[in-house]
Amino acid sequence: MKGFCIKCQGASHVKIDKVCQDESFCDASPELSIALISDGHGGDRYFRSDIGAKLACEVATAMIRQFVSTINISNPNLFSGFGLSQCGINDDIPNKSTKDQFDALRQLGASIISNWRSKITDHANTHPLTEDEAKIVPVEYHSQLNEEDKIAKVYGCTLIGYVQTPTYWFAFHIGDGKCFSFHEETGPKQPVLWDDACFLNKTTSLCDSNALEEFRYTFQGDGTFPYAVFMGSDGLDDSFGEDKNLINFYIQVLKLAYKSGADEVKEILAQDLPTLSSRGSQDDMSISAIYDETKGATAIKELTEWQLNTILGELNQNKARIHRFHKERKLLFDVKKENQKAAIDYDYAVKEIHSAIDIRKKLIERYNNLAKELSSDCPKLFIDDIPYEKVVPIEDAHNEVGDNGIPEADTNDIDATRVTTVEHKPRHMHQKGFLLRKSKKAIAKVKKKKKRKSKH
Amino acid sequence: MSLLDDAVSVPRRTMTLFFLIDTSGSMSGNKIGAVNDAIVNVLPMLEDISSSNPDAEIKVAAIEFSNGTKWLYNEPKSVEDFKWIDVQAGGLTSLGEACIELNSKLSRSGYMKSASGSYAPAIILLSDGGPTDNFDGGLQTLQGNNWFKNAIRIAIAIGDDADLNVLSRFTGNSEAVIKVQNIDALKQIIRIVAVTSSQIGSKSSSTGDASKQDQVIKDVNQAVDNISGASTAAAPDSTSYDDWD
Repeated sequence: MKGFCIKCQGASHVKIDKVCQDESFCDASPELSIALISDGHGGDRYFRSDIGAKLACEVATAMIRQFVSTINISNPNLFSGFGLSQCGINDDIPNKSTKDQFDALRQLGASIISNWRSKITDHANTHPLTEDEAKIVPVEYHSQLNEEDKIAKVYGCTLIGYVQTPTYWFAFHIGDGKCFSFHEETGPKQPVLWDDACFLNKTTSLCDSNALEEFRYTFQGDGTFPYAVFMGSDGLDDSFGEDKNLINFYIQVLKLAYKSGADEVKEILAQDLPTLSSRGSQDDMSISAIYDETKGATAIKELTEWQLNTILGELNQNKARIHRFHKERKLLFDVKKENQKAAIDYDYAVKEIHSAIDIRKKLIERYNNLAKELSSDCPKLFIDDIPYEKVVPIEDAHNEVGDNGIPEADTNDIDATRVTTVEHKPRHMHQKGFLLRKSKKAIAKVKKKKKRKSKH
Repeated sequence: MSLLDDAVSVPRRTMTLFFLIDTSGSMSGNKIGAVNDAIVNVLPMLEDISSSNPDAEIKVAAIEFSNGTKWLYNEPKSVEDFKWIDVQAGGLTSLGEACIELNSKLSRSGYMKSASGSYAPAIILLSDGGPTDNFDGGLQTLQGNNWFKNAIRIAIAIGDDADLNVLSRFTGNSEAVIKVQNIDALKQIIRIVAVTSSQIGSKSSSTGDASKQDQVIKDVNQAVDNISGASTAAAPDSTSYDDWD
């Protein structure tokens, strides 16, 4: 097993010279692999959340090691034979036969919380409010360090953990951030159930009085393991929006790890994460990852196929969008002169078509690059079936125009219901200029048709 | 080498600003004229905020409610692209139905994207009367919506007949209801509320425990103090009277 972890100060923190409040940890070995991240809260009252996050990782590492060694001695078959089992918030145990396992994991969660609280209380007692803190922190929060029930808020943070031994794996999660596991044949998934209480900037936390009830757990002991697990703080998922974008990023990272090794990945992430934070969420970012280095060949192939399928899905959605606005534009063409709303909607439709076509071009380029990655000798390139000469708004198309100002076409210009597919093409078709010649030929055909029509 | 090349998408974060506009018969004349005028004039300001903000893109959606409800467009538009179409007044005040409609759009299947990569929306409600339909039922549905719960919610009560209690229940805070009593105040408050909500709502950095709604309320209320004919619903009754001529 191999692994790496990294953290980076967020762009908004750099601007105001605020410390990075994330912490990450990774230790990978055949006997025991542990990956952790903890994200300290950003609000003013959580003014030592960076220390809270560090202590959370320290405590969790120690408690996990203790948990695993105790199980190895006292109950080595605790997880044996059990398939993927998940327990979310307020859920009854999904399967009664897994009660002992989830009780054991809850015990681990309880020990992490209790030891974390003990550590932060020690820290608060031995580190009174500093002059620097007094300057930055609003006065109403100064006394929190001396109030037993409020100390935890000062150090508030989230925690995600993944643990793998030769016979089982388990994961736990409290708060936001995302964890993804990559499995042979079934692809990437979130191993731990999501908690809807974590929404926008709200999150559950180790500092909550009911933190134990907020932990979610997953385990598997039937000998099936993911070949890689990635976890990241919310600074990452907020930068990528949709999960598929974040997974795509992790796939790129994982491919690099398989090709160049963990050290190279860390070096590149150290350069890229500040840029990503600046372009994206502006928040601190932390990543921790574990991967099975023996699965490289299969993994790279499967990951690339996942990327190709995801892009294919986006291309189909994009096609439906082009179809929708093309149809709308045609319907609005005749009425736009008399109706202000129709004129505005017409302009929107034109703009949306342009925008969708631009996106489509980038997606196709990305698809073809990945296809070449998968098979450099004979890549299955994407065959685009959008009739651009009919769809591109006439203002820019320089193509044949019908009597109503719309390019010669009918409502069936784009078959949005037809799923775009790729076809294996003979090698000569990939030669430079082939597609260009083909599209010129198609345009000439339309012109010829138009000419014939006008003669009649 | 970089991992952030063309293979990786980093979309810009989004904040959607919703206008809920009462177009019942009592809004006709100067009131609806001022609303149309104020929104047209505030859009370029919002465009500036959006284009100069590296944190997020601002999108705009608007719904009018009278005998029924009608969205101006069938999806939120980037503020740069949003074109206002003057709304006309006439009919009843279906605020309950507007709540149900808003609830349906505050979802992944409606106007919102993934919560990751989004900011809480800002919702500005303008009304000059009381609802004539099942407002309680509509609001109850809306109050169960996570996006609504986290949204910046501000209401503008137009004139003495506006139901301040209803608007306070919608915003969850009587300080988030701004009462206006003349055309000039209405125009100014629409501008201030829209600009402040967009500025605060589309920022990523937290300024502590104060919610974005609280920050907007604070800033708007400060501005209200300097506008003749404007006050917060939480303030003691003022001696000024409606002047809509």
